[in-house]
Amino acid sequence: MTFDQGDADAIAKKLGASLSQGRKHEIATFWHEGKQIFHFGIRRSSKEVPHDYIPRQMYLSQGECRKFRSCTLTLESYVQLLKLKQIIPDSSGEG
Amino acid sequence: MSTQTVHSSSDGQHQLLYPIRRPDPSSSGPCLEGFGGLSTFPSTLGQHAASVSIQTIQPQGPVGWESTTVERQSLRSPRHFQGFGTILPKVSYVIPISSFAPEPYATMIPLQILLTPSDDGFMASFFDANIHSAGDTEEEAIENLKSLILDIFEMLTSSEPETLGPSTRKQLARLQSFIRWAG
Repeated sequence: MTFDQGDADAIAKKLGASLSQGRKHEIATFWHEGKQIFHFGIRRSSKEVPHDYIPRQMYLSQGECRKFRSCTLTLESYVQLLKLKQIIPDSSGEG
Repeated sequence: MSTQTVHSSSDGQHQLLYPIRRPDPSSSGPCLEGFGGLSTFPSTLGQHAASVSIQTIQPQGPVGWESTTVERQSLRSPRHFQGFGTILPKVSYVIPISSFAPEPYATMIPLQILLTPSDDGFMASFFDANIHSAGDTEEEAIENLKSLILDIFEMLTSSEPETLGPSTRKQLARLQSFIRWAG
């Protein structure tokens, strides 16, 4: 298991994601400058359940997501990465 | 050494799913990979004709998925499938979802779900809208994904449009092309 529920919670916290209750998941929503960028589901279970799908939802590779989880990739760097991938519009006014 | 997975749908039909790999006759490469075959039968499996399609699957953009049917073949019975490809366990395959019953939503076209086995169960992915979930079994992964798709669909449709970023706007548009309220 690459990512578990604890990882999902830690990632949601680091993102500053808002949480809402869904049918079977808690839905984490990542906001940037007042815009919803993506959502991912956190499954609540008494036993460990895999959350290996979170990197895909975050537009990251497994390795990049692991770096984000372990704090070697900062939130600011991650946002820059999303801008490079054109997931977040670059509002810096340059170019 | 063939394996197959049977899923029951709410309308009493069965979907007979085969993960497959098959040599590619059009190239010198070893084989086509990452495609799935499926056939749909009424509840008496093997009694009716069905069709099987082989599809290549490629990511398309940051939120996207392109599936290309490269071959389609009518079958008179499941055993004819034996000559169509090599059936392998533990490979990814595609499952169409055509119902959200008992939820009050209907599909306008089937959602193509990729099921990927993992060490801990199965990951279910709806690449068209970049929504993914997982489960200990195939059925659980699919049910979890279906519920998450509806959760996100409801969140996006109830959101003020100006709060949607480019990716979530695109995600909502994709979902609206597949799902409609049927309450």
